[in-house]
Amino acid sequence: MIVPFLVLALGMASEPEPTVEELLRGTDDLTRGSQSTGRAEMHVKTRRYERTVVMDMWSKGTDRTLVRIVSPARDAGITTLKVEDNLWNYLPRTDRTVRVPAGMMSGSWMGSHVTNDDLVNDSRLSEDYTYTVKERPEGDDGRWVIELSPTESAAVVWGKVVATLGADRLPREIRYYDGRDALVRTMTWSDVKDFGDRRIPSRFRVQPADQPEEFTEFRYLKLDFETPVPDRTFSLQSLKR
Amino acid sequence: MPILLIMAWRNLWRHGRRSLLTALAMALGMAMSMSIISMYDGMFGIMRTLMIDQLLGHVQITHSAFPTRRGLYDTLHHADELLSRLDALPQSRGAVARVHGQALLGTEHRSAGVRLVGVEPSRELAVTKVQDTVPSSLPGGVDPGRFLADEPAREIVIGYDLARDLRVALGDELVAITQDAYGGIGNEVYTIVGLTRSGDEAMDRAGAWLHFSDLQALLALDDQVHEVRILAASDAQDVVGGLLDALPGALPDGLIQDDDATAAISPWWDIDPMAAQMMEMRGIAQFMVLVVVFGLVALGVINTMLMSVLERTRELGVIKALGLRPRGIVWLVLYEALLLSLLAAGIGTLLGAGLIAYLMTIGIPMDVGEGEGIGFGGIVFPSRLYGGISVEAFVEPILGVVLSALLAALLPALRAARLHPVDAIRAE
Amino acid sequence: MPIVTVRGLSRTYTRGEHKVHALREVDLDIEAGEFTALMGPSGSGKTTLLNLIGGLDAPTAGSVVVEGTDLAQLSAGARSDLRRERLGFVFQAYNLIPVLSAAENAEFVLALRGVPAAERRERAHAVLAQVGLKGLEDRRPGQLSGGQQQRVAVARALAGNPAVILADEPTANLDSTTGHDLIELMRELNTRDGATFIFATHDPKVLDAARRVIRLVDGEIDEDNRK
Ligand SMILES: Nc1ncnc2c1ncn2[C@@H]1O[C@H](COP(=O)(O)OP(=O)(O)OP(=O)(O)O)[C@@H](O)[C@H]1O
Ligand SMILES: [Mg+2]
Repeated sequence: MIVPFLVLALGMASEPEPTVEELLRGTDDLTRGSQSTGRAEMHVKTRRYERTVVMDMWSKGTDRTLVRIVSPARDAGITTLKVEDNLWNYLPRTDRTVRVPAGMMSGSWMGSHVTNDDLVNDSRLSEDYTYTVKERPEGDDGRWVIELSPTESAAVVWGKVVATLGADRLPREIRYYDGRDALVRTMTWSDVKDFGDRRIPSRFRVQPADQPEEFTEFRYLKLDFETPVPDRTFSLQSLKR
Repeated sequence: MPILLIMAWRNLWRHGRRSLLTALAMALGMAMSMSIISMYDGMFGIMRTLMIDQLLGHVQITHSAFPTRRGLYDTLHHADELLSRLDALPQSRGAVARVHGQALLGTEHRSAGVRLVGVEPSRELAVTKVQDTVPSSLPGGVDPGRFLADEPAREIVIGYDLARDLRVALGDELVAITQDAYGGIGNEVYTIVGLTRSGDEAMDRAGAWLHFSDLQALLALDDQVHEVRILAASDAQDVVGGLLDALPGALPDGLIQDDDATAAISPWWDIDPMAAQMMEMRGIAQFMVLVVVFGLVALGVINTMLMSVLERTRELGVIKALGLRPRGIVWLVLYEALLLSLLAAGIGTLLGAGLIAYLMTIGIPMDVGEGEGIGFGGIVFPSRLYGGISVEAFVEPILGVVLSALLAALLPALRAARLHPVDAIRAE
Repeated sequence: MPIVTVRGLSRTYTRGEHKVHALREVDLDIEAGEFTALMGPSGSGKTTLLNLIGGLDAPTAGSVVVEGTDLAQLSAGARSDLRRERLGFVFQAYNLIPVLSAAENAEFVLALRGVPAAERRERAHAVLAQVGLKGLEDRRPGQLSGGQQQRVAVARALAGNPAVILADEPTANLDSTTGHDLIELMRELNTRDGATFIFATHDPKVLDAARRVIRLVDGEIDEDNRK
């Protein structure tokens, strides 16, 4: 969730003509050292249920993120810590910290259409994939369409990823395909807003291709890039607050 | 009384000792088969209790996808309504609703993937024998505790073997973590109140019982259940069949709320064909025993009757000459075998009844260590097996001894019938 | 009309390649009420002839007609029926059914015919009295002397009121007085009740009692004398 959301959102370097690599990879460099504090609302609709989860989040660079559920009451206090490739959940009701095992990484995060893997792996988008530019904008018109194919060595789940960015270099859409070139899901960004001195899309939606009536949508309620986030926020001790 | 019957009876006592010895051998065979049937009654009684009362029920009602997928969402709604309708069916002894789930269950140090079964203890007590899964004692004096209380109290009953794997004891707390129906992380702390040793290996090694309200809460299932199982008023095929016929009409509207699913009504033999096969094996095994035992009995009868016919060749010739048709001669010999077998049946019934009484009260020790009995097809038998009693245990051996004697006597009887009177009378 | 008509009756036994002509084209008529003795040396065919008349054996050639019924036309079962309904037999020995009492033996044929128990019991007692065995009705054969046993056999043969009673050497196993008494008894039954007897014997003394004596030699009728 947060990661493709932030990584691409923050990737708006304003050099006159970025290389594709800069377009994607530069985002990593930019976010490294950056920090954010925010509150988001996640709306999940599936065939089985529909619910809204409000969460507070802290991040530092692309490697460290902490998310704490605020509501609904049943899940309030459940906290997810991501440090590099590791993911932990803290369960206040039973006072347990559970590391998400490798086998569960492709499972859903909090019942949404975002997987645990998404939280961890998308930070390495530019490392695991080679890319070709399919379209580039003419001045302020048009868009970037970049196709990413996994490198031989990459252990990734997607057969192909197609990212679309506006001429403003803000992300618009990423389509994920499986090994047989069938669309699996689409992520879209919209509702560009100013948060402090940054302009970023405030809405992010995941749409699974095989369940047209299902989706997960994130919306930033607050986002702040100024408040300092101390390193100890991202420790197992602080999971329990 | 027909003269042939009188002759047959007196012929039997012409060689009283030989007849008695033959009858005794037949009676021993009969008593033996009665004991074996009694042991089968005992063992298959345990299997039946376990399989039907504890594991399967006679019939299960589920979401049509549940039997294969066992999905969290493959649920039934309005289970209360369904249960009260089922209670009213004459073919039903009672019904219970159950919730099923999978969870990571453990302590800070150890955990295991476990099958959770949610039950309503007060209802189960009247219908299934799930309370009996907590035995009265465990090896090494371990206290098995008790089954769940009637009201939900975050109690858990786990398999004895699972408890050993997790190194936990009665009174310890266990945390269950699972994905709930909203995709959230269902988690809860439960106190161990009982340990099961039911003979159902799957549950004893990796299963746990919860109050179904507790499990519904853990899984965020509201008041849905996964399964309603019904026990028929008896095992008889026509009662279970009648129940199966009556069930579709008893299902309330809105039981299944998935558009692409229906209610599945599955008899136990469909749910667990292996179990059904195992129960059927009883019939085959019992039949084999009867065939072997009464095959031997028949050999003895053939021998005795052949001797008896040969000795009386001349007499039979005279009787034929006097005008008894060959069919009459056959009857004369068959009557003799019949009376012999009835005599044997009388002795055998007394002998067999004594043996059955012994097997029912004293039983046979079958300890393979640690107070455990032999394991067979996912079932662990107790360390002392007791015989059972059934009408079958008497009827089948009695029929067996009589029919085998008649069948065996047919050969000597036909031989006697074919005797040529002139040759027979001349015979030395 | 004779009760028994025998025409051209032959019986040939085959022993390996050897043929034994036990009877050769015998013609014979037995009238009702006759008391006929079959005489002749051993192997002359007496038993063979009695067996053929009694339907116990099948002839090689010729016919036996009993009361108008040609035995050759009957199935084995029907021949059984004929023996039971119309003939009486007295054999040389082992005549009686050892497990039955004298009375039961006497009523055996009646029982096979399905005569009600009370009626046949009455008849059995009557015939036993006729043969002089009153009071011995409940004895088993083993508890009777040889002569008494043969009397029971005669009583049994008599009980069914047969057309003919066939007796094959009924006195052979008896001492001469007892044998003589038995023949006397049969003779008496013949004269008093008109029972028809054909019996084979070696005993020359019996000849005195017989009203008709047929002498067989080598399977042929050598002499046939009516007194
Ligand atoms: N079953 C048989 N097989 C072969 N030969 C036989 C058979 N029965 C009788 N015979 C022969 O037929 C002949 C006539 O025998 P049968 O018994 O009729 O004589 P019999 O006059 O009754 O003699 P006996 O006075 O010894 O009783 C004899 O030569 C005998 O050996
Ligand atoms: Mg003779």
